[in-house]
Amino acid sequence: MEVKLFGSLSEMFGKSILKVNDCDDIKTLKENLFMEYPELKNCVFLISVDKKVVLNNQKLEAENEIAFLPPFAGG
Amino acid sequence: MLNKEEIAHYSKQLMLPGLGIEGQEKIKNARVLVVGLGGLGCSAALYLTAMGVGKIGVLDFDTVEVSNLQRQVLYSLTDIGLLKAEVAFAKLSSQNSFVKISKYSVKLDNKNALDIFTDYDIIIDGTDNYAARYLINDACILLNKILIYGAIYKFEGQVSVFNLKTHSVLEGPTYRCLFPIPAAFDKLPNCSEIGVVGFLPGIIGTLQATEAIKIITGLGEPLSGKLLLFNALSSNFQTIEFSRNKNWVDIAPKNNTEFIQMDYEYFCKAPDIKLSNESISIDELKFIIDNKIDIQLIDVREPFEYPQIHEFVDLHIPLSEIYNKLHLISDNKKVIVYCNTGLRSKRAITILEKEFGFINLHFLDGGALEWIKNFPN
Repeated sequence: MEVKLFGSLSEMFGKSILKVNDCDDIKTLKENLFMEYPELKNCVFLISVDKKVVLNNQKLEAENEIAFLPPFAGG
Repeated sequence: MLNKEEIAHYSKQLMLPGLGIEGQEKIKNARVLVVGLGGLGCSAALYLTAMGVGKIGVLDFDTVEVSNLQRQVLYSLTDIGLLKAEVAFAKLSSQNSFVKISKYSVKLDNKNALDIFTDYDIIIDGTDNYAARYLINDACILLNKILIYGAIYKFEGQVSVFNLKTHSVLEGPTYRCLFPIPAAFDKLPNCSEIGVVGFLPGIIGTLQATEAIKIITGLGEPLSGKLLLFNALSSNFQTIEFSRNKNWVDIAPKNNTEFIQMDYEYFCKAPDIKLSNESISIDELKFIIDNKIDIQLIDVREPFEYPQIHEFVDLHIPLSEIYNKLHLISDNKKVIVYCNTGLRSKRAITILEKEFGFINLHFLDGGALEWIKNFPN
């Protein structure tokens, strides 16, 4: 499974695509990532699946396009 | 009505299908305020003026510095040290005499925002910090103004349109619907510390002007409910959809009095609400209560237990009764469960998550006893 990273998140990980173990749902994905990268817990970001922001837990398929989108403030 | 000179001036855009004289008249009657005259604001204001938006406001308290010149295209070497709003006013006025430019050399705050925004229909957010962005958003909600959001980070940009009412009177989402929780602004650097590549705010600011013209003329489809993402290095554009979220909109100040009392710097500076963690600290709960963030608070102690916390507006579901009262637990907002020390509430959450699939629960670390110790009634 892949997670696309934007802005400060892609900087944090040093890449724009994060490869992760397949997860059944968003909750599991977050739990796994928070365990592996605890600093992620302090970050504010949206999660989108197939180009739609998801707020609640959602089942995931291997081919879903997942993205973590932090806010930008620069102007 | 357009006179002969205006028709000649705008002839190149008048001949475009869908624009024409009617579209240009709409542009002439439009009133757009550009808040922030940095990279985004300069570019947006430039094109809005060129295209003939009838009334344009330019707002910034700052002065021109030499390091601005690589991206803030309204300014030149002879403008260093001068007020940005004054320079912008002079530059834009000479660019197009058909446009009325109004200048505001002020720092935007809760009081002047309501006064100034009133005279405009569309607000362009060209600011560079979260506190200003939430302030602008909330003022636009109160005054029913359309907000065109643009923001950049290194080589990436975001654009969206907030508070747009469509023909069916469906209200578009707000900034809070997209980013309800501010990134703690004292932890994140702004452009002056992380750097800006010259062309990027030019692209994003021009996209903001594009959205303004589309909304004014009715051409195309505005980015309402859509976040446009641009990556300059890959030259990639993509759009992410999102919806209006009433829970988050309801947190915004509901009237002028509440708005004026809101401390946006504090709102953005306060500890991150670690809503990704299972445990909430008493400081985080205090922040939630002080800012009237919409959550459900559940007390899982037995009815006879003390201390009672006066500030808590909560639901009592003793742990022993939890199986019978599941339907009372909200599943569409954050739920914070508490007991005296945190142990019972942690157990309650484990049951609810494992057996019933709840995913929106947190327990108060330290419980009511920790609260009372730090915030006595």
